[in-house]
Amino acid sequence: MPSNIEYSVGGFAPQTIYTPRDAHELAQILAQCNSEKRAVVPWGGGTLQHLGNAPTQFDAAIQTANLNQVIEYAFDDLTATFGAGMTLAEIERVLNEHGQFLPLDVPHPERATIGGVLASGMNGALRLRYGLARDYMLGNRFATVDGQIIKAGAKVVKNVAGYELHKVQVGAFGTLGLLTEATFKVFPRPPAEISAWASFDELRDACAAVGQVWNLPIPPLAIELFDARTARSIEPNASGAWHIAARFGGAKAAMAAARDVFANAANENHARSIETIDDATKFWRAVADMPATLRESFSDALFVRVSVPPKELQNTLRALAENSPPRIFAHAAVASIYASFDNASASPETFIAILRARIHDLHGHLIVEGAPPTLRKQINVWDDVGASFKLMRALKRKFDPNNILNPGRFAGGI
Amino acid sequence: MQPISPAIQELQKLLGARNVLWHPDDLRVYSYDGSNNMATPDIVVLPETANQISSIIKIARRYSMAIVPRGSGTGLCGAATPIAGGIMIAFARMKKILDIDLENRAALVEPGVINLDVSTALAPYKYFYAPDPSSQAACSIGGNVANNSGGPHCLLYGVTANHVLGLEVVLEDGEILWLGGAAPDEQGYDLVAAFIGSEGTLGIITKILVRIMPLPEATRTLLAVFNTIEQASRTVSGVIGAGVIPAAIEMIDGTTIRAVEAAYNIGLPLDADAVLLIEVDGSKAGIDELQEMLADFCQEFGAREVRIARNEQERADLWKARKTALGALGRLAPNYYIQDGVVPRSKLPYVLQQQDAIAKKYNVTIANVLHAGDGNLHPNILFDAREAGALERVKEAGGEILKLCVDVGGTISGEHGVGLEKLDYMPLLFQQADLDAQAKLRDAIAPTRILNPCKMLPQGSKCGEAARSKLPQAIAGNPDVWI
Repeated sequence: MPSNIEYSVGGFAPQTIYTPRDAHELAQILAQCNSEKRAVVPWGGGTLQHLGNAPTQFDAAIQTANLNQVIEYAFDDLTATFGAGMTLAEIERVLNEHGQFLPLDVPHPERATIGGVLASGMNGALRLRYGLARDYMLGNRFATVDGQIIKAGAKVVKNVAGYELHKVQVGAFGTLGLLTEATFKVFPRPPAEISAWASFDELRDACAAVGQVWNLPIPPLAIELFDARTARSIEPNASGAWHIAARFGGAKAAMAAARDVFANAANENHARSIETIDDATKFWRAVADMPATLRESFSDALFVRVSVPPKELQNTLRALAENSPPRIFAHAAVASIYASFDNASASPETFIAILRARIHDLHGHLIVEGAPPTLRKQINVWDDVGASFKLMRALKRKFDPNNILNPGRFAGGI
Repeated sequence: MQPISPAIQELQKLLGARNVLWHPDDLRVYSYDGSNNMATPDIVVLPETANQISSIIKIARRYSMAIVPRGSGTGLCGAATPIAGGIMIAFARMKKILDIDLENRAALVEPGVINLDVSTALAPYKYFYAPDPSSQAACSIGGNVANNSGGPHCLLYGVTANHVLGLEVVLEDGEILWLGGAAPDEQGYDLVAAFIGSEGTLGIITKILVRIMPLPEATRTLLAVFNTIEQASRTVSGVIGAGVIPAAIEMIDGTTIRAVEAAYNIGLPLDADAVLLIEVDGSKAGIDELQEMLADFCQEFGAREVRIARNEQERADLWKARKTALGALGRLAPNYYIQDGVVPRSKLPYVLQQQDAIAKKYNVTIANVLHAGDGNLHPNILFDAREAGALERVKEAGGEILKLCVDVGGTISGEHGVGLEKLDYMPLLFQQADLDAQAKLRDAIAPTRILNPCKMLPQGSKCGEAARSKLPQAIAGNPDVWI
């Protein structure tokens, strides 16, 4: 019997934890909770429950642990359907048998479930080459508050029949329905890979190198950027103020060339050192875990995620470092930046408000992903959603009129 | 001459008389698109700005008129057919590329911009816009977004939905909103995803921020000739199954080959049953390896000949067979009815065999042009619309092919959309509860249903009946719609 404390969010623990046997039972439980107006938090591995606001009400957690089957895997079609409760590690093992993979490189794969990762909209370094989950998710099924299991999308790689309702579930925090399964286009592992690292003294040079590497004729799978302290946490010998790592995949013949063009790009931007990464598997695992490592290692810090247009990368990093330079880890080319502030000042509200004003000027937004509990209560973790919020609220009302699905957790207080 | 209605007067005041069409002669060219449907709008307007479109929608609501957006009219599902009449918004005056932003890898365009014009404008910078529907020289980006269009190269690059960063839309209450943008991970629900492929039913798209990409350094194009279509389709599933993803794998069958040869004489063997056109993109380093691997695959699966383009001219020549295919079919029959089902790629050999049986059963000829790498079938059922009962027979055969696609785990439309054409087939794919959930999405965003009514979702109400009752008339009275 699981302890209810393990299922607490923002200081709330639920009265009931349901662990339905299958999708059908999950839908029935959901309908029952809805009829009794009991608020539900969907629960996969619990690795991303720190995201979002605390729920305004939390009566029951619905665990998807038993929805852990490979529902269909057509490896010769490069498509696969997984139950929402399958962990990413298990999915990786299944796909790896056929030399294939799902490019969702997120923290804690042994516990994180595919349903939870989709619902949270979490993503990793490989998004540069492969896009977001919604780009390679072909369809899914989700349970609605009236106890139905809805099919959306399809199981083939191209489909335009009907609205893209399956994509709207991605990043929706389970506030419209509970995912029970999802179908993906999966990818063949590149026949060969190479990864390289470059260190810089100046932010300007590191950012210019990012831009140049992004435009190389051998397109990188990922380009990551680290400040000195974060870099040393994975490469203890790293020296220099800023560091970038790039990952390339493709034909064997192209990999030596990739290393050369990467080195040229780094050299042209005054890199102080350039190295090939030897144990790339271990390195990229550490990179995928980095959002969790930063948040968990510095739990007293204020941990934010900033999204800006790619060309504002350098301006944004300067704006973030204006007072006390944070630890930085970024999916650099897409300009998705994690920053961890050790000293989040005496008035965090003001601190966040000032940062947000700067980020808004750069046409981006800032979300708080981690903060000490006392501090967290004083701030809105979500940024201003803007005018499209009225459509989001309308959508929420259609799919969850009693507001029982993860109430209050999501952007704009949905 | 009919009297000028108050709605027309208001629109003229808003847009100027030359931007409001209402004379039956002017409306006629807006009464059909690339599909087999026809209906005449009451008024056509040619706005230049989102603000004007906002005012047009408000006028339409006051007079309870439907709004139907129309790009270049190349759509194949009838999404731009104004089945309930009303005001058609044409985008002929919204064709500007507003911004090219290489650093953000984005271009801001108006909806009327022609697809190919984007890549042409980007070419000097060595960038391109990846989605390339076969109609790319004529179709508009707005129409592409509304239908989530694909194209030969979406095998590697993905469809329109993978290449749109943000949208400016006008909602049915007239509000102008931005969704998404150049910054990643917009907060809240993914409304950009909801609008893409929504066929103009959720809002009117007035600006599109598209993702642009650097042109690949090297491209190699192969054409493989097969004696049987089965060998060709086994090659496709073999290539995909081996984890090789070319930029495009297109197939044309023997019927199409012979039509293309008769029309253009490009040197394809007349006795071949299928050719595959395979293209790979990438860096110079490694492209030879890839090309050899693909040529070997083709040989291994029984290709009797593999031609490799040695330069851009030869590449264009190889593509000619594919690009001229639909036009060439005019040699075989006055009309064709194109389908757009998708099947799992490993099922291609079986499905093409079954499709043959369907063709025999209904006594029709089918010419196949496939985005084979995606499992996206384009069977063109050839017929003569003047022959009594031909259309009915063709539609029945088409329906049976779609059912076949769904039965093997596929879908009824890969890139053309639902519009009017596929309404009746949506229940093959979805239960009523699934369709109701989709209706909730529409009703949350556009509850009045004045935006492109009767499209996307079967409605079983007056809407559908009106649509059906108009179709046979349109076809009977206007044989030229087929040309």
